[in-house]
Amino acid sequence: MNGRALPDDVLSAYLDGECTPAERVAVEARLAADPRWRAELEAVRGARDALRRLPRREPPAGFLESLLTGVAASGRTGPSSAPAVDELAAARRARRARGSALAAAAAAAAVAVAVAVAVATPEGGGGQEVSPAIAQLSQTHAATAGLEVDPVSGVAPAAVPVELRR
Amino acid sequence: MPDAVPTWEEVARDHGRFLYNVAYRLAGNDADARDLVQEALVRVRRGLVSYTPGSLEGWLARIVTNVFLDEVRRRKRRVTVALPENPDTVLPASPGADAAAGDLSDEVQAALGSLPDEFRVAVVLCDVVGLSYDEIAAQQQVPVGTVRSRIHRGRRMLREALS
Repeated sequence: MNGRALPDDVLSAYLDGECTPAERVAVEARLAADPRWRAELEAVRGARDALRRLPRREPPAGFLESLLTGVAASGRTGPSSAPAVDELAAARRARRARGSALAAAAAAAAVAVAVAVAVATPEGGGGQEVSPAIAQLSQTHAATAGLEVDPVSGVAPAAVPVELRR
Repeated sequence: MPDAVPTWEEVARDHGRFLYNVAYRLAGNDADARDLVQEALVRVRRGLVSYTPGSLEGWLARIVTNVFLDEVRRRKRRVTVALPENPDTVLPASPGADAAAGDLSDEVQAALGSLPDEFRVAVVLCDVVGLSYDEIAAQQQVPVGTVRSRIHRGRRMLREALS
């Protein structure tokens, strides 16, 4: 086999019209003389055609609509829809990553920290209100925590908005 | 205004199916494909600020391909998850769970999923998306000769997997 001067990957380029005129001449000369090259060309052509014949794979019904609906429901459209899109993706990633007691424990710990931070008042004003109510947050978490639901995405929305009302 | 930059909603509505198809061909299963599309749309939204009207689907293909390769690298870094037998195919195709058995396209998808990731990306961009070698080289930031080699080797492996 005298293919050193003409690497066989030029065959795909030849098929795709991606080789130089000089390469094309050389490939055609080689094809005329070498049955193994002809076989290789047909093998590569078969693979290429199989890929090109693949039908467009359609997304599951409602998938794209759910993305758009999620953004619309957030009340943020156009450029301001960014956070909603991020949240959808983050929630989905979190769902995919869930499934361990460790994750649930970590989420519960995160809530505990969030609650502790919210309750602690740097100025010592023990009677300050917090928003949303800690009790409500705790109940929400208690109702949704566990391995049956995504612990991370279920907790995050409850923990993040907590801030002291001055 | 024919060259206006599309909104995120327009991209999702008008090109979401394109994104999903490319994502599915790369990932080989519906769950991963949906994740890739969602993450790609996040990057689309961020990128639209600086997007220059041109080949929108080429741009989208680059984004979803980069999301795929980032996810492959991320999974390879995860030491708590056992690596598959072939570490070059971290997102192997598993079409059987998502599609009817016996379909020829499922066989091709399975063969595609057996390719090392960089070869899979090269043949998907060439034969599914329809990009030129120069476009793939620019997108993947590799020499055209590397693209040529990956496409050829990818097709040859695909052929072997199908035979």
